[in-house]
Amino acid sequence: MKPADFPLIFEHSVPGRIASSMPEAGVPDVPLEDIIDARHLRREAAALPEVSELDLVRHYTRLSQRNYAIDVGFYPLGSCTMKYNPKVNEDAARLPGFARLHPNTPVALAQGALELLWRLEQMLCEISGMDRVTFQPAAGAHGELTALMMIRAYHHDRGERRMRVIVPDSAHGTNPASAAMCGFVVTTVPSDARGNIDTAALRGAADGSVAALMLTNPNTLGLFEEHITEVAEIVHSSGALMYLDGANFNAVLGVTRPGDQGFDVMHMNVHKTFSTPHGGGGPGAGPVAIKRGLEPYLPVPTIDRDGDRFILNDDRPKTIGRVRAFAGNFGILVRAYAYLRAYGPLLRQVSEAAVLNANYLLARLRPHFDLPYDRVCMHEFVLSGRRQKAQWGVRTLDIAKRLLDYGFHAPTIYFPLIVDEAIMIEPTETESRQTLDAFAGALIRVAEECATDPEIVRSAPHHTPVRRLDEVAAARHPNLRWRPPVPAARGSGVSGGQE
Amino acid sequence: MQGELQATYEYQSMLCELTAMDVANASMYDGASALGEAAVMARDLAGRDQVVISAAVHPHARDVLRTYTQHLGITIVEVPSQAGRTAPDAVRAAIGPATAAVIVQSPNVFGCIEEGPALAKAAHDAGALLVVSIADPVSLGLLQPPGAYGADIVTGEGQPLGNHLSFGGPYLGMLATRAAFVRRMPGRLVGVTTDRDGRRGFVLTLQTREQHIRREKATSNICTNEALNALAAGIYMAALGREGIRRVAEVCVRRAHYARQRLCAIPGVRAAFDAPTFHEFVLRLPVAPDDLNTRLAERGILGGLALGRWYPELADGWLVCITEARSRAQIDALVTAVAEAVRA
Repeated sequence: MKPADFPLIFEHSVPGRIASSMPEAGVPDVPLEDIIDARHLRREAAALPEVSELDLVRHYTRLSQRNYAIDVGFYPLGSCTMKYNPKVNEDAARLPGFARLHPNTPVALAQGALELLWRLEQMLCEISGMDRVTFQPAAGAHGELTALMMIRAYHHDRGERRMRVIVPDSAHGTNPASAAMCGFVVTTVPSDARGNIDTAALRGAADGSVAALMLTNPNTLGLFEEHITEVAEIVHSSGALMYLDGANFNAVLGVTRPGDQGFDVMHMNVHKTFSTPHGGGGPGAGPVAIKRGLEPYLPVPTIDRDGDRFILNDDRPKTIGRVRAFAGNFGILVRAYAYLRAYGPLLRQVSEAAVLNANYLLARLRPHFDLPYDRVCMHEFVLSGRRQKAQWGVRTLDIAKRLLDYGFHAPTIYFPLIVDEAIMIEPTETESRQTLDAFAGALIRVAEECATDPEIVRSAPHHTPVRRLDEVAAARHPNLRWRPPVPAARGSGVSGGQE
Repeated sequence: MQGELQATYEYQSMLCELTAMDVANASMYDGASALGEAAVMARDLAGRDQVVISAAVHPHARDVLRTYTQHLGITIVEVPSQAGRTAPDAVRAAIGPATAAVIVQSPNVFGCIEEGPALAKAAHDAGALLVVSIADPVSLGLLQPPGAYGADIVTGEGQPLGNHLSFGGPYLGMLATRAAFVRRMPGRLVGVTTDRDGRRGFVLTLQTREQHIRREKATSNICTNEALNALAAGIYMAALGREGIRRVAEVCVRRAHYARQRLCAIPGVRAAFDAPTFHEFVLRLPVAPDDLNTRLAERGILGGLALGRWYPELADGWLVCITEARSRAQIDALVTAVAEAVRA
């Protein structure tokens, strides 16, 4: 018999039930049609769930319990860093003066918020070795787009038409996608045998048509680019700019500064670097930091200081424009600010501990998996499951699913693309040795099972709320929404004549 | 992650119900960037490279649209508003053979409700898509949803669905469309499937549209979205439910109407436009709007938005918003304060 499904909120619905109490309008009664012509009024109510307050609370509480979360256990996800989220940050972001501040509040009445952003900008400049920061981008990829538009404006302003962007083959998928959204053509260059960008190939590709190199450093293999100075020289001598994808900035805080390595512009993912939550995939914030030469092109508004006042400056004739409606994901930036104020000079220890933890895990796991790029790693490392695949027919996906049975979230898999059967692991700085040992123990046990009982790995998971899901069917016959039961007077919810 | 994925699927479903569209994604960054992405989507769907946008779409959203499309060969034609609304004839005149989409906002930046069906017809007659931007989704508790009058893509700002104002973010961009267009949508989608025991489960699906698979050929570069805000929006919609969302919208309309009547009774103050409004309306003032706001601030009231910065012809224009969170006593206090300030 088919096991019972966990109910949808719609399946708790009983006509007439409601979870909230409504105020009366409390103003003289006027027929609605006298205010708004009847032809504009909704004829068919939206079939939203009709549930009691208890139904609502229990439903969403139970849903939260069906998640693996950073507050529940260890997340080995590489690249998609899940960092410690101090709870005090949540208190700061919910202070009424922040949380209830309207985005159109006159600047004279929003000085506290503007000062916070201005001070955060100073801190990020100090940490990155850059000169200015825009807070508008809502996430890392949004930051990439913003930065590339500034790069394009920079070259255009010099009368140069440079339409190519170089990315290494280990890059995040957002890099080429952002370049395309900015109208650039993407040139991919390979990595060398040690996992660095291949400088010979870069030299061959870097000509007068190149606008920028987009580089992640440490790169997505968790390796520091050993020839970063030479790379910057090659790029700059061709007239192009150096762009840093700051996804892995948390490995080098207080150790080395991108601005000193030759980068002209970078984005930071505050959820990967400065402890803001990333539950379920956002919200994030993707501040972009730049060297002085790019300042004219910053999105508007910037937060500028005018004596002892802070202002929103829209007067930037060469700006690329606005990339979102208001001045950024402020509530997220408050959390990052709180973290930086708490940690300050200790940031270097944050990075050192992240690197130490990663190397400890790597040392424990390397006898059991292949390591295609055999170097001391930074904050993350990439193993390969190719041995398990070749010898026992167990894929990396199976290994990841089996880890769930041992109570751990799966690592990032099949990324970066240049590693066959990739298993990418990032422990972060906050995990204890006991947690790292428990995780290593589980992964080693799975590696042993690949030899002794490969079927149990291939058919995993066995102990999760749902077992392996049919993703092919999901894509072939998309069911992306609940629909009201038919036949119902409420209709299908679909209308309009162009289906 | 089954809990989060299910909550996202429920959010997608509720947003479809509210907008009367077939499919909604898991969220975009905000309403303005969602509109920028919708223009790119329309270009790809129509195979044409021009969009016609009403000047009554919020200026920030038009700014972001320009930013998003500036390097993609998409040209933008703006249609001026007439008496606070977008005239279908003016839209018809602006449309050409290269027009991929007509973009309007309803209620628009002046709070006025647009003639959706006529605008849809103007777009569709020319083979263009209709993109409707929604500044406050609560309005759809009471107003005809875009799907009911032929919208092809709906975007909007989801913040009013239970999210803090928080000085501009984090918010959530809404994006919904017709089933036939789903494979050109940007952003994450959660779908239903089954596990090997036949039990219902949820997965991220149709990922071949996305950057981590398609890289430079993806429909968008978006990766991180606004999941937690979408969760809050879903809970908000479920807390109100079928009847509650209509009630909130109705309280907004009635209180805004009351405020508008009372403010317009002040000598020298008049409504800028006659068109029906939801919970925002524009007044013309006998004093400079910024000066009035300064006076009101002294009394602890954050006044309306001075529109002259974006609309020079509305140098005396003052955009007022009254939601269900403003009591009659607060409205009366506002009226008293405005009356005294414009008399002084």
